[in-house]
Amino acid sequence: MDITLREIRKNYGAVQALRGVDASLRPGRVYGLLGENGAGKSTLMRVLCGRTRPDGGDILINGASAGALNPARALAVGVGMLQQDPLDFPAMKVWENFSLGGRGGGRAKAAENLANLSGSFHFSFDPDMRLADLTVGERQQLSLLRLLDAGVRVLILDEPTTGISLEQKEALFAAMRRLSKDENRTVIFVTHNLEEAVDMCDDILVMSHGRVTGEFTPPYSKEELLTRMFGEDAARPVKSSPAAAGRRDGRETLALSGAVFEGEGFDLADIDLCVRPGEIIGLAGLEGNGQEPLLRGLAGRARMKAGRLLLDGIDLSGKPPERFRFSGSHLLPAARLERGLFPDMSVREHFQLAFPELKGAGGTAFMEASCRRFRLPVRLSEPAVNLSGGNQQRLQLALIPENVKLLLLEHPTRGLDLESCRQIWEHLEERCRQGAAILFSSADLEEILDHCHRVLVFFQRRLFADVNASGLSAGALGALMSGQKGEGL
Amino acid sequence: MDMFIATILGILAAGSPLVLASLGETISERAGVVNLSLDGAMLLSAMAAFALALTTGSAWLGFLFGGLTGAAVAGFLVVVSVYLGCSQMAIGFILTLLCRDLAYFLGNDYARLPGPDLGYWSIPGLGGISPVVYVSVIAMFLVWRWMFFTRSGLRARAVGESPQAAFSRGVKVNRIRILCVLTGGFMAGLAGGAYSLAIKNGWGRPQGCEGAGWICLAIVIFGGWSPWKVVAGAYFFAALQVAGIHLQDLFPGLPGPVFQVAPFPIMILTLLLANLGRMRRVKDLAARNPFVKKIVSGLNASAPEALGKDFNEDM
Repeated sequence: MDITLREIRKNYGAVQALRGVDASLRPGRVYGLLGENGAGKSTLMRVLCGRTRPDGGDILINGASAGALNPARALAVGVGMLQQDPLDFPAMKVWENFSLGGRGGGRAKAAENLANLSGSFHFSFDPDMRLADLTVGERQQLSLLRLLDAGVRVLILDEPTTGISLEQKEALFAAMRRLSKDENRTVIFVTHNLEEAVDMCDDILVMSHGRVTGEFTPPYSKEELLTRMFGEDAARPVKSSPAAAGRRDGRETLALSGAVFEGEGFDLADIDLCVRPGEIIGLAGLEGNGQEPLLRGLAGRARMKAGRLLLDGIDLSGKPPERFRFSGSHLLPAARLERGLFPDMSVREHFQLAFPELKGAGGTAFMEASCRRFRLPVRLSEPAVNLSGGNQQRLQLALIPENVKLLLLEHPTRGLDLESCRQIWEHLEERCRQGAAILFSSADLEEILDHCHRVLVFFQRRLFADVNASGLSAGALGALMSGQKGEGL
Repeated sequence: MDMFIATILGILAAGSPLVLASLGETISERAGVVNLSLDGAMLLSAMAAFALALTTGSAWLGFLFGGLTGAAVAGFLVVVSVYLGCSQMAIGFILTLLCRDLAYFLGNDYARLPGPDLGYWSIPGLGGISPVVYVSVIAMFLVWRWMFFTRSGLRARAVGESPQAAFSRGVKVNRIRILCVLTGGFMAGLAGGAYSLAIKNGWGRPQGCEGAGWICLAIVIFGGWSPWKVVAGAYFFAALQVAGIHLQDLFPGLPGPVFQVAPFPIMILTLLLANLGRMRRVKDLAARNPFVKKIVSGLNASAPEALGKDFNEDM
């Protein structure tokens, strides 16, 4: 099935998300769609799968105009999209999720179709399990199978590798190759991960500011791709020398002994940990192995069931979150909009909540200075929900109190472009020089190796290793994450 | 023994309009729409059913008309909330007050008149049983079958969980919501008719069904939006009411209103017990004790994820 996009345009208020996109897609190939945040990748794909109505332009399928698409019609002509956050029904059963939007059918028929399809991809599902009990990766696999069951010929995958395990990623890539090469379907792979795109794709389209700015075929030049994505000067690599190692004098910022934190569905037990001022510690490991309970527990937001926690010498074991905050612990959640900010409140109101002493003209001046300092190019009256991912994270940074001692970050740069990452780390390292200790989780090994003094590796829902980062290679860290304690570590 | 059978039949009869209305509300809420107009709609339907039955002489025609009246009120709610984007809660609240006043105003001419009723269908050895009992029992099985074993039932639940996800899978979200709310309203209307034509015969001020709609809204929550538990909740409340009547004879010393009011605080207490599983201490206990865990997980239920939330196709 050939698809041609012609002059696709979409505006959100005054923002031009798509400014006339032309592209043509042929079957049997994996297309990469690259671009920084806000380049229009997701909007374009939502238009193609009928989820978003374009303001102008035309979609041609095998040369004939497809007219106005909605999700039902797009599915009927064979276009399906795997959303970045699984768009499914957690409270319902696996077979119900599979049946709905697939070929349909009752329990018996859906379970049979599911078993056949999952067998051929080496996935396995219990049709009567509640979807909420599955991992993100499994939910994604199920959505993929459902789209195949519905008979899609064009499969769109929007940032499919976010939040899934390494094994799941490999299985997904194998499936993508099979679907395009063996079954002659069109696969569109939306990503901001250059490595993955270069590995996987037969064709790479680069988007920037609502337009397709380049189309590339192998062999790819990474420099050229970066230049097309970010412009001339941003192609330089992320800085890679960790800030000065933590000070060894003075008392510890954090001392944990025998701590047990309550996670979702399990307890993270027996954590002994010392953190010195100025130290940057990365939490590596597959998602869901205990990084979240530790970070949330250190902010007083996950229940501590046993053990002792000293923050800057003060015993906070089992104390409520506000005591942690008062003592200088600060958490930046990964779900920025849902857990970190108030979507409908303005930037100004966020500042006023974080710094209640701000009043009048002096307050406004402080806020404006703060926005400039954090390169937050927004009006104070703008609600947080209107900010881009990068700007939401900058706002979260701007709201950290000056005297913070322990800074906890979940995936600080997830989904952000290189320039935003660089600015955020610049700021975090500045905080460390001022004496704050940082613990952060990340799925990006390079980010951990680039910025940490120490790495905590989580494996099988416990703290598996606590290693020095200097001289640690990506290979060695990868081995630790898969549970191998080799020699020389 | 006769006494026992009479009590059971009494509970079945008193419970049947509650079963009808709470199941109707369950359908509507599983699709994501709260129909707060329930109480007023039931009252208006009770009046309409009685009035038509009196005029035409046919109780069954009146019963059906009650259902249609309930559906009409629900239809107004759904058009204003789903299509015109007003708050479901606010509209439902106003509608319930409006319908109540409307019922007493329009029904003034029919007050305290003897009229037809649905009569009894006897079962040999048991005695006369009101037709609304049969209707409510059939409704239970239909609702359960529809909700869990049909394509449209699956779609309706999906719409209540996540309209976004349902829409992107080609489901017509608004159409399903409208059909579910209309069906729910129809059942609430039948419940109103059941009161004025069978359970609390006749029309007057106050009609015996005043307040029943609010109880039904609570029963839906109590039953965790699951049809069988909702049915159990409806009969439980009916049992409390019937028990009150019997206890009154046993304890003549206590003032009558105590027994009329007692079901309400007992209902609150039961709600509290049913939700114990959400308390941290109980959670901890359940983690250690498999027996407690079994009980708690059976009781715990969460609302449809998108309950009361509007849905807009364009994004």
